[in-house]
Amino acid sequence: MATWREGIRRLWGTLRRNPRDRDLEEELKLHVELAAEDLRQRGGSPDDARRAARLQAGGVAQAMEALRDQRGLPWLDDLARDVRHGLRALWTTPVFTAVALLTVALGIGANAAIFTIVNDVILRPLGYPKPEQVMFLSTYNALFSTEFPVAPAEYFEFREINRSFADVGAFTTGEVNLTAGDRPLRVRAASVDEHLLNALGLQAAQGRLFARGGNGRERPVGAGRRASTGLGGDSLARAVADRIRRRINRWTDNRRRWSPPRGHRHHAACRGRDGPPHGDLAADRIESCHSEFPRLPHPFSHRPPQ
Amino acid sequence: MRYFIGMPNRAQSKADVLQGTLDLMVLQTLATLGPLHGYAIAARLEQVSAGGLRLNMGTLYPGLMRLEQQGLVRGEWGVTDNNRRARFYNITAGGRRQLVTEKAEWDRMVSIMHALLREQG
Repeated sequence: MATWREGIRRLWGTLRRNPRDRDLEEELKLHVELAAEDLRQRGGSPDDARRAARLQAGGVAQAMEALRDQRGLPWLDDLARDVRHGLRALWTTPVFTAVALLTVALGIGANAAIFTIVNDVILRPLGYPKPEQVMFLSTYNALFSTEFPVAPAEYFEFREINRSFADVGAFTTGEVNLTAGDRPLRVRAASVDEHLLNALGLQAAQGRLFARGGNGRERPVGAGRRASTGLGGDSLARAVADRIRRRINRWTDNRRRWSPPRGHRHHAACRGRDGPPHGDLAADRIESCHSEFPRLPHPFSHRPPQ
Repeated sequence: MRYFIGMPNRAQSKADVLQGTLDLMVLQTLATLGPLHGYAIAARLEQVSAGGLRLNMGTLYPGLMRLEQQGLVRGEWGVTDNNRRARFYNITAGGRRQLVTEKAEWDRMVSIMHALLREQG
């Protein structure tokens, strides 16, 4: 209680310098004078008495120093003094200050930017229902000891042999030009098939997205979400549907040719049937994906020329 | 700023003991004699100790300030017998309570030390 009270008073003493130096000094000087008078009364010259009194009572300056330390919080005083000194030093060297400020600003900015990415990509869960069940499917190529996106042939094969996942869909990502509005826009886009939306658990904002045509081709029905593109919802939907139709038809054509289109990478996403794919279960599923694929004619496998 | 590595030297440890007991001595003096200014407190302590205890200002006044900050004494400007402006310190109610507990603590410590030293000696 008492020390708590002392802390408050000392904080106050730091801020207001209360009691004032003048009062403290007056108190100390009186002490020296009274001591000198006492000594004089016991005998001795005034000079000797004054000297003896100073000797016994100690210096006023030293006592003032101790009093100032006790009055406030010395570390806070020091801190304030250091800050003032630092600011003065920065003020006198503007170029250094500018460079230092720029460096710090760049550092903070870069960190914030990187954190934004890390937060979106790693920390925040995917924006789909039950994101822990969604998996990314890739093929492993022993020749290059690395993973590749799946080829359309592999994708369709996997769909047929799949028993581990509730659904498997495919997608490619890229950018498209939207020219439906009053000005063209370059937007990021993903071409998907009907299964992907099911696998991700997505619903169309309006209407339906796919309908099966008579010739086995998927026909996008089209529904756009009014994105922050500045385009109207309807025209955007039309434009998106148009792009999707063209991409999808190329996709189904590719399926017949059994070869991936040049420069395109196709990805597949799987959704687990039940529960999150943790630990060995997930590894099993990945293994089952990988182990089934060698049966397929692989675009990278070595074949002696005939 | 003082830095100690290992054991503090003798003079310092003596001063530390003094620091700890200074509060008790000042509170007791003020409780007995009523409001006093700083020099009167120092003179009284010197007199009681027959000259054995001489406080310099650098010890006494920060000590008084600490007691005041803790609310154990209250200082007020007044006038001495010789018509001089001086700061008079008076013990507060909290100071009296503190004095009682610290006195009991001191007595206990002294009896322990006494028993220990006599037995060992």
